[in-house]
Amino acid sequence: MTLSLILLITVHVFLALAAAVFFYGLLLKLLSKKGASRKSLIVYALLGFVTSGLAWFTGGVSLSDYYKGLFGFVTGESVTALMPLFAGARSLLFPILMLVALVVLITVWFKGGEVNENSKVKAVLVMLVATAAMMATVLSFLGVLVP
Amino acid sequence: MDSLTFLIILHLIGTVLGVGGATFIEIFLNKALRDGEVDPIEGSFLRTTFTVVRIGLIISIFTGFALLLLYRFEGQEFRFYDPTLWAKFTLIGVIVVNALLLQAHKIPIWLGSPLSLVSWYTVMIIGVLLRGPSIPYLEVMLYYVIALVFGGLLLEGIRRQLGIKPKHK
Repeated sequence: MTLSLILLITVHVFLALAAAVFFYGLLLKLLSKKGASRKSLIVYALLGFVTSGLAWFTGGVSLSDYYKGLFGFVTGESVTALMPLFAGARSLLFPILMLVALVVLITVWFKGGEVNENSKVKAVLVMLVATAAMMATVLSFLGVLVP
Repeated sequence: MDSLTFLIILHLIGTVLGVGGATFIEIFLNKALRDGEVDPIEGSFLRTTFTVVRIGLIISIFTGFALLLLYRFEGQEFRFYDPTLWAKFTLIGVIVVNALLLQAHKIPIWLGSPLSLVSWYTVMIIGVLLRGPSIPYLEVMLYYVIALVFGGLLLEGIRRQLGIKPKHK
């Protein structure tokens, strides 16, 4: 395994992890009883969106051969048999995550100021952000545990 | 110093911040609730300690993932099948969800705080046990539940001794 491949995989996984952390931070802000400023919500949503996109880009463009198993790996038989399923999950989860992250960013941009007063907007955002956080977390794990 | 040692040191720093922070949250909270309410200064101390715990959690998670990547790059994928490691992942999930529930005030502080405290200590202990033979997942979780019960009873005993009556929702 070359140094450049090691660095790319590390950057890819850390970007997905960073996205999970930013969505988690956004979730904490939304759930806070004190409320959150529109600006801070936008910052977290934007960072989550950007890191998700970069994680997708590094995984899909630069590491597609690696994650298809062309560079070789050592796993148990049961995991090897499930490889197509894991690869499919990754290729499906990333675009869905990007879509959810984009919806969150747009919602926060236009409705971020109403979050503290409008419980419906808050509830929808909490669900979307929680979903994005979970997907980013799963993708981080898949990036490490499944070659 | 090799990369594994470096990452373990960083991971320990994150753990220390998390465990220490969770411990002091419990201490500050009990101290603050002795008069029945949390005043602004006490609230400020608690918020700072919560921030320290979150920083510790982020450092632990990133360095933990770095360790997993190192195991993959060095051909030690067998470690991913260790049930003790998966128990550790589960408890980190408990810590994260508990923090969200506390933030949303969906869990009373007298329950969420000891849950966080016991979970952090258990994660720390599991981190040490990972160096030894593998322990079945359910066995680890059983010990965790037992620790939760004993930890909760101990903290409740301390609160009663201090004359603290927690507010129930």
